[in-house]
Amino acid sequence: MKIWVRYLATLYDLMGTMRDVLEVPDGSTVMDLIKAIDEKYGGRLSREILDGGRLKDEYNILVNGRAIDYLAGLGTRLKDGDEVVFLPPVGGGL
Amino acid sequence: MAVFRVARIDLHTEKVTEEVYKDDVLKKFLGGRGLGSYLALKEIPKGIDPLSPSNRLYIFAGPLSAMANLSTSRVTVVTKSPLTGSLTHSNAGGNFAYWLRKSGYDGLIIEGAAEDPVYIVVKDGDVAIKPAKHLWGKWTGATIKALLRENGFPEEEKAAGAAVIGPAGENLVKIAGIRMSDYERFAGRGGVGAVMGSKKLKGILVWGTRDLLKDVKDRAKFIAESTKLAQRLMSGPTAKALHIYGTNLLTAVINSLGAYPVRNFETGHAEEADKLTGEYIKKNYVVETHACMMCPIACTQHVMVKSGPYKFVGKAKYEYENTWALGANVGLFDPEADLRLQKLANELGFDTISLGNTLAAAVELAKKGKLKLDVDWGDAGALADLVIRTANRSDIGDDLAEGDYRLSLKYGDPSVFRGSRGQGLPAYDPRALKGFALSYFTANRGGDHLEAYSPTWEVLGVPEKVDPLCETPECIEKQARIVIYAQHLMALTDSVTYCKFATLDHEGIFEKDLAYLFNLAYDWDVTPEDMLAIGERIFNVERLFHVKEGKWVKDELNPHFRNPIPTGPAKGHSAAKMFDEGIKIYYKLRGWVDGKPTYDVLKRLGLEEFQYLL
Ligand code: SF4
Repeated sequence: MKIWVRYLATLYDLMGTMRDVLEVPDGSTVMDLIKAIDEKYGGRLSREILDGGRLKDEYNILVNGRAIDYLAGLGTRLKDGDEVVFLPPVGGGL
Repeated sequence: MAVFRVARIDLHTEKVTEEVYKDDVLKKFLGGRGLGSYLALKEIPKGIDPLSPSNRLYIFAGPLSAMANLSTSRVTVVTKSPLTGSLTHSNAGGNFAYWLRKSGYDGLIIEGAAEDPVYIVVKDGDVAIKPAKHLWGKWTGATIKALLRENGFPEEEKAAGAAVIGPAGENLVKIAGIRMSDYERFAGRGGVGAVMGSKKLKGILVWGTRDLLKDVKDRAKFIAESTKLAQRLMSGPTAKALHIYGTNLLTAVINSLGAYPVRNFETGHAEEADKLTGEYIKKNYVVETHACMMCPIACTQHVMVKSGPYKFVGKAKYEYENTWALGANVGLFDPEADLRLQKLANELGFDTISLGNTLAAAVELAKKGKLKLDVDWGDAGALADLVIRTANRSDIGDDLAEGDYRLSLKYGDPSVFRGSRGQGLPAYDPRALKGFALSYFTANRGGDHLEAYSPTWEVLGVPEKVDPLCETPECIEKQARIVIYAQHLMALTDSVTYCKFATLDHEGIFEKDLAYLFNLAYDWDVTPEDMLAIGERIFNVERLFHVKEGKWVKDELNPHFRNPIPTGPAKGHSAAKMFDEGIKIYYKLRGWVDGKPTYDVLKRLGLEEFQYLL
């Protein structure tokens, strides 16, 4: 399935693009998406935003405009056509 | 002991009197917005026309302004607003607060009106009123240069503090702001520029050599402690991100949340907004990063558009709000056209937010066939033409110059006004960031996001995380509680003074730090709770001004936001539940009845002198 991805602010600088499209297997989670992005970009994203498999406090991720904190965290399941936004490091997260 | 020196300048008699406020008053209201609102409530006669000589302008720094490197060079303007017809306050950064205090005064009160245009110069305690006929009609940038040149300064805005109006203020345009040095800073909201225009006051120049730390008990310790706080402030991730991208960091974030108003708040998401983002503009148009005096964050971005149909001369200061107001909110998604409109608005001396609201209302009225005007969403040429007509009050511009609220009434469709208390809303849809359902519509000055900035907790998690879409009783109660806390803290930022951007991280500057700094500087003995009580007192004084005027007392949700957002990530959400249920809790927590403070509240806050208003 197709996932529409955006990297904002410092993550845009890191990834070199604001918009991205990734093909991931059905039933993938946000964590699976991060792994797929890592494969494409040599592990750059998770080195920046993860710490021991956890999302660092100052980062957050939106799935269709909702912070994953209010969904199922990195285990949030994605569906075809979802938009996932990687927010810049700000405040106490989202 | 703290001492706050004010020059009261009557432009009719040209008489200048000095007033000194001491601990007894300062410990209750501080300076800036607090002292300004207190004096405004006491002094501005009920029912006067805000554009008559009996209105007053309070241009106040605060007792800690420009003393510590903690984004403290902020100045607040308080007056009776020609736009809303009641009290307003408007805050600007730059270097004006710094040079004002250096000039020997912490605040200026301007009253009366001059016969012919004048400007004021304050240099090391001397106040002079000079003719300004030759400057009338000049744009804001050229006016500042002229003030500097005529008074022996190099033509660089950092050389002295300047506050000026452009053609919009001169022509009593009710959405005119006051431009401040350095550079393109604005006390924008509430039409404060028109009040200056009504007094025939083109500008104010301030400069001096006063030692701002003279009254501080232990100078070395104050500097050491405030430096420590500055280091902590700069360790916060939002402060760092603001430094890199400026406020327009927000476009992509707010759009992703579905809270980015498009075409006069028709919806909360625009697919086509990529080129308005801070990321895109930084890469293509930003030429330098800039800071207000005494600010370690340095969030300001200057842009240039050097070629093409929208090129302009020199640099412009650009922000998230301006980019939205003169971009997405008028259906314009061309960054160069947008930046040029921002430059034009700054030069003509507008409040960019209200200008965007007014243009958007005009376009909507035109599209509904209620206003005969050949303009469509995103029509850059027609919009620029309207901006100039509005500044000059020529033909239809005369109606736009009255602002979005009056425009919508005149053309028979009040529903196109998207604001509160007569002032249009800024760049967040309260249906998708529900804290705004309470904070926008309880804001004293109306149409306001800065009396309690809900993304602080809904996006940044400070002081605690709140889900922006949650409407359970627990979430509603939490929102009401945090909005009230933020309203008190923001009243402090505008009165201390320091920048609200220093409150966006857990590492920022809060009531505890303020109590510490005041105790250190002036040998006060105040607690963090005392500081918040000052904020509460200020907020109540402002509300009492509405009570006195018999205007805008009860808080009301703008009916448009009862409709669900039609598209985007927050599709289907409305602001109705949060407002209708939240306002009851809000009033209860404040001890108010229907938006009005009670005697018990006045007594608790030491405001018994105003009980006659109840
Ligand atoms: S954070 Fe930005 S707006 Fe605030 S004082 Fe600093 S430079 Fe000025």
